[in-house]
Amino acid sequence: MAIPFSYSWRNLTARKSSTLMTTGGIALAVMAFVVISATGQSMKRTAAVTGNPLNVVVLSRGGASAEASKVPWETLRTIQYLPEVARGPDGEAQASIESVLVRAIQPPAAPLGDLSQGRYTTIRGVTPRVFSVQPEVKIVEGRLPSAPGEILIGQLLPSKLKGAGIGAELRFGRQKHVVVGIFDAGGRIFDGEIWMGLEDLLSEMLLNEPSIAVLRLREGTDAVAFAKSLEDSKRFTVDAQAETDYYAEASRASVAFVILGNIIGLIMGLGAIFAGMNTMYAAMSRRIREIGTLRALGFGRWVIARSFLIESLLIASLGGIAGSLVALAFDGVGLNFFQLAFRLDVGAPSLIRGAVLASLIGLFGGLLPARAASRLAIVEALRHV
Amino acid sequence: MNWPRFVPLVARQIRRNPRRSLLTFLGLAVSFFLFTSLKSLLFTMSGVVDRAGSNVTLFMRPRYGTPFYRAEIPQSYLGRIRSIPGIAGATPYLFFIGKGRREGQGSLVLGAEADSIRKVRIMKGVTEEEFEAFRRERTAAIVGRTLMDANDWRIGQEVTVQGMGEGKSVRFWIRGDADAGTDSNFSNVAIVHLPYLQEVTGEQGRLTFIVLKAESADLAPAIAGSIDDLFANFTVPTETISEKSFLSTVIGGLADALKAITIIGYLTLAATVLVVANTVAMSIRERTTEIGMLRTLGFGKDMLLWLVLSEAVFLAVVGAVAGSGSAWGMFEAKLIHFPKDLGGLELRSNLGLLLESILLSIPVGLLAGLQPAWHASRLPITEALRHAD
Repeated sequence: MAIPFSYSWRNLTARKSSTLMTTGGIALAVMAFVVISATGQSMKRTAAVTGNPLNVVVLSRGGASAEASKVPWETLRTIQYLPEVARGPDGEAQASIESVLVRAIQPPAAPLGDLSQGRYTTIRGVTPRVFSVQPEVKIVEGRLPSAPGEILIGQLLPSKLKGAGIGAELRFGRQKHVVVGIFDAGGRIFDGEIWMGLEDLLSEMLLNEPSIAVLRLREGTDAVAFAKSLEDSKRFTVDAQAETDYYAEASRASVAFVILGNIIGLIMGLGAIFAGMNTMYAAMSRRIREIGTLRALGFGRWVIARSFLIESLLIASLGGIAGSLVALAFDGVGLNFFQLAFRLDVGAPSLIRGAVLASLIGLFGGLLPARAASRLAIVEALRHV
Repeated sequence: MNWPRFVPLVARQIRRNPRRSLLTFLGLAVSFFLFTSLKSLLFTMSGVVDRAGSNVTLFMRPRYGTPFYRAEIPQSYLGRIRSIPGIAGATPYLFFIGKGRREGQGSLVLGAEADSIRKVRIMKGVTEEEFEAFRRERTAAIVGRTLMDANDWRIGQEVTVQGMGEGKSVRFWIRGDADAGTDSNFSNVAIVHLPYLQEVTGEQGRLTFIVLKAESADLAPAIAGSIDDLFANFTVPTETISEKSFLSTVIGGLADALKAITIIGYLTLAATVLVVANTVAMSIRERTTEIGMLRTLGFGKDMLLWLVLSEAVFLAVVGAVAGSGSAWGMFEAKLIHFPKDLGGLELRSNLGLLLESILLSIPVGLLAGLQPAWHASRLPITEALRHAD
């Protein structure tokens, strides 16, 4: 014979303050774990969605990153007209020649020269062709730059540089730059970047050559094989990577958050297990006679243990739900990690991990008290005062 | 208030339910362990700027163009800089980025001037004999301990670092090692002679950046301004900033992460308050009749309030001493550090942090005990005596 579920539930409501405090402790542990875990997931996701399987990034030989690369103009002119590169409706190659720099940029309102407020930000010099290789990027406010000194910013940049918006002036290079438009890159890395005219950036930074070319290949072309053929070619001295592989590197930092999240989750979870155990032992000691009565009525040891475990799991579930709901309040918040800007996505994988943590807290917190409750001798329990 | 009178009473209450006290103690210890660990993580990050960053040391790099590690500063700038009054020393560097032992790992080789490097930078862990051996030999190198370990190199070994591109490579003999750790300027690099590196890479007359030391921190901003003004109309205009500003900006990139760590640290304390509050409340509930008895014997409301609060504070302090103490011990014993893939940064703690955590346990205990203590002290005597749980 099983003890009804409502018995466990009513026991929780019978000692509201104790249940609430334990639930609160578990909720805090689950919330912290879900948010950190979501941070790692969001960084990974941002890197994963940025790479397009049909795009190839061309860098100079040995240029480990776009920032460190310098590709000669002649090479870029030749590469973009290879037969594997897609053509637009106007017959032009779908190739974006870009100059990429990372600079510490101060928020518009920061005092001049106060470098401590500077935030590393990627500045990308582009041509209008960029929208053919990154078609998901759309201007959502303002307009495209039409004169030197005008720039576009990604929609997440204001979360990094407070006050950055249409009309704001950002200082880098030799002059101030006015924001004339904001773009939405659909959760891609570009959302935290500054885009400006390629020629403008090259002259502003006294550069002679661009950094990279991003090539959109014809449908059905294998980007990895094409990249390898470019690297093996004797005509060019370049490194090339499928864009998906290139941006996968950007997710390396997420490893730190996954590790940190697991450690914090484990430690806070352990603390919550002790709190849960305390609550369940207290629940047991208050109901010793009741347990004796249940046993006398024919309820078996396992049934008693199960009812205690259910009670413990219920507390943990309530804590898990509360923690997850609070974590969901952070969904969509803009975060920055060096030059990477991303939106926190508290998605199903993080919530599932949170639910697993809550269940483990409930299980381990209830296990020993449940065992103790099931082992009570009937006569002794009934005699208990 | 006669505090010593409470000690036996509090101790007796703690011993009354050893299992509950143990579980509460463990919960508290775990929470304070995490709190102190997170605080130590923050301390390490901010300490990188405070310890390694100096206002006297200045970095000179090109104002525009490529990233600093690919910069091209004419070597002729060095002589002009050295003639500026107020500069105690200036040393040039040339970067060579080579491949590491593992895929995706890099080895940084720095071309430096043996005569000037020690006037500007401290080479921690490098003995006089080692430096002398380096100075005498054209192809000698001093390698940081972190880089040595990452590549399984040893002193006396001949090493070839293959460049990331263009098929260039640098060969050198290791004659000394610089200390690892955040205090060391050269823990993760190989230092070779500048002329040798320039010759091997074909970059004669080119530098990546120049490090300067001002005679005093007060002079540094004026010196930085003079240098940048001097080269403003040259082919490579310069930007000179203090080492502290440079590192502050780097740490600034972690601002959100550091903020998150701070919040989690305090959330942990909030969870701790709930753990202690729950324990004290449970204990008070069980002692309701006893509280009524104490009131009958003449214990006043305030005395009962302080008795319960002392119990909560005692629990919190003991938990904090154990948890924070073990976290501090583990950091001090260098048992906790970042994974090598993430820079291998050595995490630190200090006694001030330990003390801060322990002191914080007092308000944590007071806050946790307040409601149960108030409730206990306000219980009407008759009701408390009639109470049956």
